[in-house]
Amino acid sequence: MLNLALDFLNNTGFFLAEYRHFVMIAVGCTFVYLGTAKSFEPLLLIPIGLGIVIGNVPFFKGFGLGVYEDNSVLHYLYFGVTSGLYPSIVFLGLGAMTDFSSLLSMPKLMLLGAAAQIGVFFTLLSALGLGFLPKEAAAVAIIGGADGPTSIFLTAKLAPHLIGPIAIAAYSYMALIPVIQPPIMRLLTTRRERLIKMPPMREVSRLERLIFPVVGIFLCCFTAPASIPLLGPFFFGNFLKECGQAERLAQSARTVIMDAATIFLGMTVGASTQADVFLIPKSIGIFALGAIAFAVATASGVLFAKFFNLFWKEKINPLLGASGVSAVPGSAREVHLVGQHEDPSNYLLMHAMACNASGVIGSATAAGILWSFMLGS
Amino acid sequence: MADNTRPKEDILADLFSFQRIAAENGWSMAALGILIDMTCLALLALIISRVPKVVALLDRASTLFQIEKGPDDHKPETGEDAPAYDDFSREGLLKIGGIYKECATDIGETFPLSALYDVSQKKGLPHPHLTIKSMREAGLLLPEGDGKFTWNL
Repeated sequence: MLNLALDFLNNTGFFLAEYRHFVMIAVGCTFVYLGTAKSFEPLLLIPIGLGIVIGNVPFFKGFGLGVYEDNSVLHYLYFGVTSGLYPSIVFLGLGAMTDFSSLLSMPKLMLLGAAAQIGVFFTLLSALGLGFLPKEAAAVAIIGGADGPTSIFLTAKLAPHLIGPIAIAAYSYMALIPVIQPPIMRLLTTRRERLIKMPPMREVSRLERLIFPVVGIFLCCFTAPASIPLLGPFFFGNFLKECGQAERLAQSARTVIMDAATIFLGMTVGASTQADVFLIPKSIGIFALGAIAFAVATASGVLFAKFFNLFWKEKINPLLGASGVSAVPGSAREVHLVGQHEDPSNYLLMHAMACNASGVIGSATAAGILWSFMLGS
Repeated sequence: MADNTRPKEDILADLFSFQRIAAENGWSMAALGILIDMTCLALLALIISRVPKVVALLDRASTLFQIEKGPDDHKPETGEDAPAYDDFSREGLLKIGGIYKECATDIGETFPLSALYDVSQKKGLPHPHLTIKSMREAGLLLPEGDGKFTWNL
């Protein structure tokens, strides 16, 4: 009986634990704390944080328990990540909840969403220079798109062994938008530029809103077919929303279906950060490059807006360039708040949302382009 | 031990190397990638900026089509001396407003503009959005609060 008790004790998490497990559990608890107490992206950070805690409970290898062990429940749930299924479903829901009216009202703002993708390609160069393999570099670079599902999707396709660090980096920086973006915005703009008021939006007809997803599919998916798994469901969801005849489907897509995918995506990505695969030197490089990617994306959006103003008669508030990253709606909110800090009567939110929406399209297209480039390597 | 004696430049070169970027075709990938992405979004922006014009053109074409074959269809609503639907002078709007009011008896004395818009579309009245906007600006539709309006003909 004593032997049985000792065997049992030898197999408990307490006996098997190493310091690395506690480090990761502390990281998970920090995520849960930030999501719960500070309301930083709670819908993302709470599932991921709890997933990290679950994934780092030490267990006896070979029992079929861990996310990387065949036939474990977590492994089956993780299939949605490695196959790219969850990101596609999240994009379907995103499409069904996105109103493109502001973007359709002022299409030139779409260029700011494109400009912010410079951060992605700049990081690609930096990662290659630092010695990452091309596929790894592409997966790290997409962090600059500031889109969690896109980052996970591309990493699952190109460098699945890096999903944990890249997902955590992408979501951490999205949660840290209020810390990262405002100083860059202030540094690169003058007060006079921050005071620029944008013209009111025109009313957009239903027909325009209906045509947009169709044109989007034709243009973006035909240009970079590798972006179909993301942009296909995205525009499909948007058409469901706008057509008005399938409201029940649109409602399901943007609520229960998307929520279920978000829960499993967050939890399994968190669980994939097991100490032995996460606490590696490469993770430090990924986090550093992620921060650079995010900062460069923000800066390139702002600088492009300033460049735009040199030629355009109707000036654009350069702060809007910062919302060209696809962190919806965090970066749009920050742009609005920085604008309001200078002039409380300046409402930039809707214009920033337009840039944000184009950032989603831009980063998914960038992911498709990067994936296409890597097909041959 | 050997690492301690190496010059700083070598250590930095190990850490970051432009040659590695060139060897992996990085410069081309980055340049082409950003070019494709920007071109794609710029084209999308260009196309959607033209959509309102195309929609207006289609709207105008359908209006012409309706006017050509319309008199029989709309005779009950428009009467013999049908007003010019693009005459947005006060007199013209008063005539058009009469037609709209006649068509929209079912929606009551006070109504949201969306209800008037729906009725006018169902009745096939030309460019209802512009007409309702003009009638509102001319004071023929008065706000009653809570987003509802009433006639002032």
